[in-house]
Amino acid sequence: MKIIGKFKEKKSHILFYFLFLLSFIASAQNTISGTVKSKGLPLPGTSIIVKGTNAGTVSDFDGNYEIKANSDDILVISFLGYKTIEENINGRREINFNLEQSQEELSEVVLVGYGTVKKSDFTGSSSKVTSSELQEFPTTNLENAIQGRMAGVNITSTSSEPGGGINIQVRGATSLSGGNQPLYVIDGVPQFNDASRSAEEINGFAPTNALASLNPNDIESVEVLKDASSAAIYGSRGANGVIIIKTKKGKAGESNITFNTFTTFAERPKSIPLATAREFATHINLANTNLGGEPYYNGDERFTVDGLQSVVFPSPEELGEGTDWQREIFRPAVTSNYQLTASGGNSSVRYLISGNYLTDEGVVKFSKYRKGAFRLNLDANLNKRFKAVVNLNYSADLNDRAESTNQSTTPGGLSPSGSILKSLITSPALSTDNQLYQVFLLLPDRGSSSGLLNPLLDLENTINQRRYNIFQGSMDLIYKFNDNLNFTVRTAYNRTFSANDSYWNNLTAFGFDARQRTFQSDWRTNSYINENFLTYNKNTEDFNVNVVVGNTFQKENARGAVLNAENLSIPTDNGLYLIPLYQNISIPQRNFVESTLISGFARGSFSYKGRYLLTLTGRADASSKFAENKKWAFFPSVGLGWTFSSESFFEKLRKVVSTGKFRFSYGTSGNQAISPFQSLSTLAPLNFGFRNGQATGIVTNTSENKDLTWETTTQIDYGLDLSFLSNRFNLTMDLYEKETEDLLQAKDIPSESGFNSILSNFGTIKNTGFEISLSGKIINKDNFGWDFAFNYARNENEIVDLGEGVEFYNAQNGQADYTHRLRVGGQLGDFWGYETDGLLTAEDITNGAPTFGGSTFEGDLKFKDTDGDGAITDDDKVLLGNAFPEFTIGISNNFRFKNWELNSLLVGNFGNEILNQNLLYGTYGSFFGVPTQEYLSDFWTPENTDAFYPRPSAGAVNNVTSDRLIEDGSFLRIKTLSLIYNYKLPNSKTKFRFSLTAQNLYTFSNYSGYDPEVSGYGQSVLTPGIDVGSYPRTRLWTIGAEVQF
Amino acid sequence: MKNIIYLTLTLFLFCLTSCEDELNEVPLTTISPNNFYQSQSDLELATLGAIGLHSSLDLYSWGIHYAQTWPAGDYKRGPGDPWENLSFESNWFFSSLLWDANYKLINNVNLALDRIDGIEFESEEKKDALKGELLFLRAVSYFDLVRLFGKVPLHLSPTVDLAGSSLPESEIAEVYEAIVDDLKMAETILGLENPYGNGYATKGSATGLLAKIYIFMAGHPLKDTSKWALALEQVKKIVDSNNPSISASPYNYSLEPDFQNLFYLVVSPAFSGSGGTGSVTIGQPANENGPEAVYEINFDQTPGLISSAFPTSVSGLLINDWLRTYFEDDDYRKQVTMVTTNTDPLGSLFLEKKFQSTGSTWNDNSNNWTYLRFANLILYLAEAENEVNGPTQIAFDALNAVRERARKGKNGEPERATPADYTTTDASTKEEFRQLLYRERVLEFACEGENWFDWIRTERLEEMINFQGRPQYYKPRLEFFPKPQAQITLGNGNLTQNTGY
Repeated sequence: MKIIGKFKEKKSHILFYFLFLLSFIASAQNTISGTVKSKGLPLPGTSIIVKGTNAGTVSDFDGNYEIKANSDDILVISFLGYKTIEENINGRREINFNLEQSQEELSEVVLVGYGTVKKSDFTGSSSKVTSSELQEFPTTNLENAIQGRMAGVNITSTSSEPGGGINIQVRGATSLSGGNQPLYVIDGVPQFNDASRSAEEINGFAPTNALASLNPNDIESVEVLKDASSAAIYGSRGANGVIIIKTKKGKAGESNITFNTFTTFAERPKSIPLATAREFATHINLANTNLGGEPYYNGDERFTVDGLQSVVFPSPEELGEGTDWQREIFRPAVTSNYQLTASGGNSSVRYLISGNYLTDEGVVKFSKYRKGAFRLNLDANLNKRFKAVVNLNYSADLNDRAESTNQSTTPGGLSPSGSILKSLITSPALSTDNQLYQVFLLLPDRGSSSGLLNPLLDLENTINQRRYNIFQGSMDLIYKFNDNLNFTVRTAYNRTFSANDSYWNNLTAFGFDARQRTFQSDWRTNSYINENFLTYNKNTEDFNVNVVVGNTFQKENARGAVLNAENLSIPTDNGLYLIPLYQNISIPQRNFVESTLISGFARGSFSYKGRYLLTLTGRADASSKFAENKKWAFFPSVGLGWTFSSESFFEKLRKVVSTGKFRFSYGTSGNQAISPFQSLSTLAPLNFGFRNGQATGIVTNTSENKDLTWETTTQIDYGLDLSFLSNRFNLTMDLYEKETEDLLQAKDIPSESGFNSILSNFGTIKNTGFEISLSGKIINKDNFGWDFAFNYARNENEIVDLGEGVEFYNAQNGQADYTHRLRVGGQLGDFWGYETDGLLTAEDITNGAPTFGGSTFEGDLKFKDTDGDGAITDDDKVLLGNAFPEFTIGISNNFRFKNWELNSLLVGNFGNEILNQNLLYGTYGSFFGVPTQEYLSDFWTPENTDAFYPRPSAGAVNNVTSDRLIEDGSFLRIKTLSLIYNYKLPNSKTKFRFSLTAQNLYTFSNYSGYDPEVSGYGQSVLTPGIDVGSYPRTRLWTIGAEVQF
Repeated sequence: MKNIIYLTLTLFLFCLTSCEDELNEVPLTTISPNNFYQSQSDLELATLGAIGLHSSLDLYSWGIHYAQTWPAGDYKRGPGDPWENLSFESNWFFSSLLWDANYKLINNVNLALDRIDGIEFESEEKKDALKGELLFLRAVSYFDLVRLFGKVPLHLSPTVDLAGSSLPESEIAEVYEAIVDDLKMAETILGLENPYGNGYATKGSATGLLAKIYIFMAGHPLKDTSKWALALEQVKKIVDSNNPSISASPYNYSLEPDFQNLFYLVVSPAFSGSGGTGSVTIGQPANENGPEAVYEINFDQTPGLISSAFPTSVSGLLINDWLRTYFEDDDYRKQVTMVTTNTDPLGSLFLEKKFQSTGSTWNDNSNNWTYLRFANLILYLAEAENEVNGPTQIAFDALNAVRERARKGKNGEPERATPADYTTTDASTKEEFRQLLYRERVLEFACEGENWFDWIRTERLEEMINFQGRPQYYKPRLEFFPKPQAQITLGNGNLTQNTGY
């Protein structure tokens, strides 16, 4: 130790001599000091450099600086957003600077792929959400923060459960099976679209959320590129729009530490009024007698086949209110979020570090979501020429979910169905501590009734965990040739790990039937990206030129594994890790898919006199997913702009209309979001039970398609940007038409070939629409301000062509018959089903009114024989509505009064319908279910023949897709209302921010279910707008506090 | 500046040349047909794949049983049930299921048959064993297709491109000729035992099925009566006409001494529409691949995999009224076929019993399917002999051989009085003998999927539907099922729908 100490001492001596020598050499230099201000206020963090040297400093918190320089040196004073000053020292010792904000830098920029473009030079169509909007209310997920703020960007959650998935559609759906989610570009790194993988996630697990790794607090801005001109730079992945997300960066000289926390209280969802136990028993008895059976609830004791157990089904008179299962499974829930962010730096290195921890209980009992995340954003000027930008983000969550899927419940309840649906169908006569299911299974006639699945017990005794870990790391190395030319090498690596572990013990219905069961699956994905591009910028008096040329290489692979085991003889609470003890373990499955994308791209933006704008963009993409000679595609686009307000003839109007610009763009982009290997002819193993155990053979799997290639979307956009009264009010309007051809779809081929279908390119879909965004500062005083923003978007979809000879096909999901029909001339999201005409009367029956398969019972639904062929067949189905809104709106109002802020956001969907499949249980006579009070108030009995609702019956003709399931889905929601108080400690940079927010405060809607924002089948565009056991969205109250110092 | 351009160009060129390879897809979890079908083991896997398709849910595990058993009314169905009122139309689920699955199997067989000749095997015996199995499976598929749908396209070589995916329909006679060709070839090359073991076709399987094919060709709709003589000749190859209870040399088939040996005796099921106890109790396992099995489709309960899922075993089906009373009460076969006592722990009275579930879920049962058993060939001997030579002693002996086995009842029990032997007093004419024979087939093969197609070939469908008490549902169109409408559309004029649909 001593020796080392000595050595250190010596070293410091040497250092001292060096410094001494240096100071001697520099003794010709003077110390120059002063203050940097702007508009009379000190400007901390300004960079002061002695021109031509590496010597430099940064102004401190009060704007003061001190620097050594020769008396004839030149100081360069610069700060982002301000005009750079070069000042000759001329022997002075004290120099004060006053920086002016640069007009050019102040003007907004648009994040486009591989760079930025000044808003004034932009010829495309985009929408943006900035960090100030993101901070209007505290929230844990980015999609919630940006929903409703951008015209033409329709965001819905696929489930409101904690950690639930999202569905984002930009300007309507363009693809049937090639995916409709936009491309996400986070800090320049295109994220591989997960659509192809989530389709392979097993057993209907919620699709993974591409934004799940991001924390709204870390986001600087979100830019959505909507038209062909701006999205074309991402070529084959731009057809559904591009969402460019920029995270926050540290700023030189501004050292900040922010601690932010908030707590959200979620209200218990409203209850749908259902039958009491007595009413339910009466109803089941009626349903059974209507089917020619015996009353089920008759007070008899029923014995199991072996006679060892018995169960009493009380007669209705013995029953009272019973159990309100909705009340039992739901609870008010608390979410807590903590975040610490530190940022700062100097002229050579800037950093931002943030850490975040979140817990969310969820409104369904026994569920809990936890997430932790960490981010490091670093940028460094390595020397005069090299700059490095490094972004690292890691997030990990653990989600104890309220069972897996809400989409199916079968008679007997043998599937692992969702607790929410169960709460709507479980007999209220069952008590919360009762598990009748097992006895019920042993009864001699178990087929005739159900509703004995205790959802509370199932929740308590099911493990359903999802883990989702995301790592995103990227590094940009930028080499500056000169002021005009940069070369960037970008490398990025993204990795995800997701795992679903479920276990059902003996007390659950599903676990009882399988004698305890575990099902586990996991997916790992790796994505490697390399992008290399040159950026050239040249601004002269008349011309602005901005050119980007580059190439990219991106490779992704995904590995999956599935494990399924049944029959665990040892009773346990957690059988996830006892695999060897299970008696039936299915053969292990492994999956591996890989895809590669290679591209070259170029964009040139030219503006002449700031008035005449031209953008040319092109990208050549090659994807491994397509057939051998169809891998490459080229996606060109052109954008034109005319800033007519800069013309001399406009001079007089400029007082009112400060800027005015026409935009026009035309171009193509593509879609490749299909699973790999689909152009190939493949064989696959077939496992089956044969002789004494398992046998494995090889059979044909897919047929080759030598022509499989891209979907191509051609889009025209006409835009108008107007600003009024010195840019106080801004109006943007866009009119677009986009046509997608060569849709990737499964094409039916004659099955005598041995194959039913091949993935193929055919069909055309068109979306036309209109968007308006209006924003303005209505009042902008020092102490009081009122900002206003409004957006409106209308999109109309048309199925132009479905391939040769195909007029329509039907899309099915769930337990009813099909729900949607895609037909030429129709729209995506069209609901098709039977029209009803009241109920069948005795008279109808004697008159031989057409019925289903000759089934004639008074009090069943009467369907219209629209084609008049005397029978109710598939041909009688008609268009019942559409799942996509005709138009959407978003309105935000932000008030500022001294230290107070009041922010509100209203969002609305209009003109869409919802298919309420929940009504198939109970109301429209599926095999089981609890009738609603609404049903009980007016159903058919021999005494009430002109009722609205049909007679109680199970599995009769009433449970089909008909107009009875269709409801108006329009709504207007007060999405957020938040009150904020800002406080700054005097003589300190310490700031506080307190907020109180209500989310989903009130929803104006006629919908009878929990919430009109439904997405029962996730991101599917084939079967959108279905509500079946959807996780309810509830009112949230949030209190938040933030301190910054 | 020049350097920059060169640098960029180099980077581009580097990628375009070296990365192009990255665009080739190499799927690792599937197999490319280009490098398969090249060795003995490949062909063994392909043949096992074909067997897997044949015993898949779409075909002999589940799907085909609906088509061959349910319309025949062996089970009790409610009013309004399409199986009861025979109201299936051209969008019928089972039409497309069976059409698609059979052609998938056929294409897989064709792919393997196309390559097998050029492949070196360790022995010709094994090569012939696989080839015979493939030919046999193709014959079974076309036999099902032609009986279900009538005129169908005949694909005897693999589909190479989309242009050849749809062929014009072949006449029914042509399809039968192809079946006969396949079976004759299989009969020649197969041995008495298949070296690959149970579940693979043997010489006897091919010989026996060919006899059945001739009998069908002699009946409706071909009515090629010349085939009766061929059938008789063929069936005599395998059944000893002097002692029909045993087989002719070199075959070694005989009747199971106890009719119950053919089926699992399930005491209480683990899973069934009739109830369940959580674990199955089997009173007596079936003697699978026993002396009576001419061709048996093998299944075994395997965790997480599909095995047999005969609808009878999973739906708690009750035997229909007409069939209950068709049996003499003391016929041993009745109590094997259905629950006949109130105290049976299996479930309700008249519950179907031959194919009760042995597994824990609806589709993982071990029960084998008795596709062709020796008793069937014995009765074909009786039938062909009667058609060719009238009700001779050979015909009576054959018929009585089956009845005698039933009469013996359970092993060790005293012989029953019923069903008694038939004598010439019961039938003195060809026609009278036919009636006895037809009746015997129903009793022997109840729920085994023989009835529907038997009644069609003997032109007794209307008679039997009337007899069952549902005459209002009979239509002449029932001789065939509807072809799947979607395939007719896709076939672009190559396919025509059967009359009446």
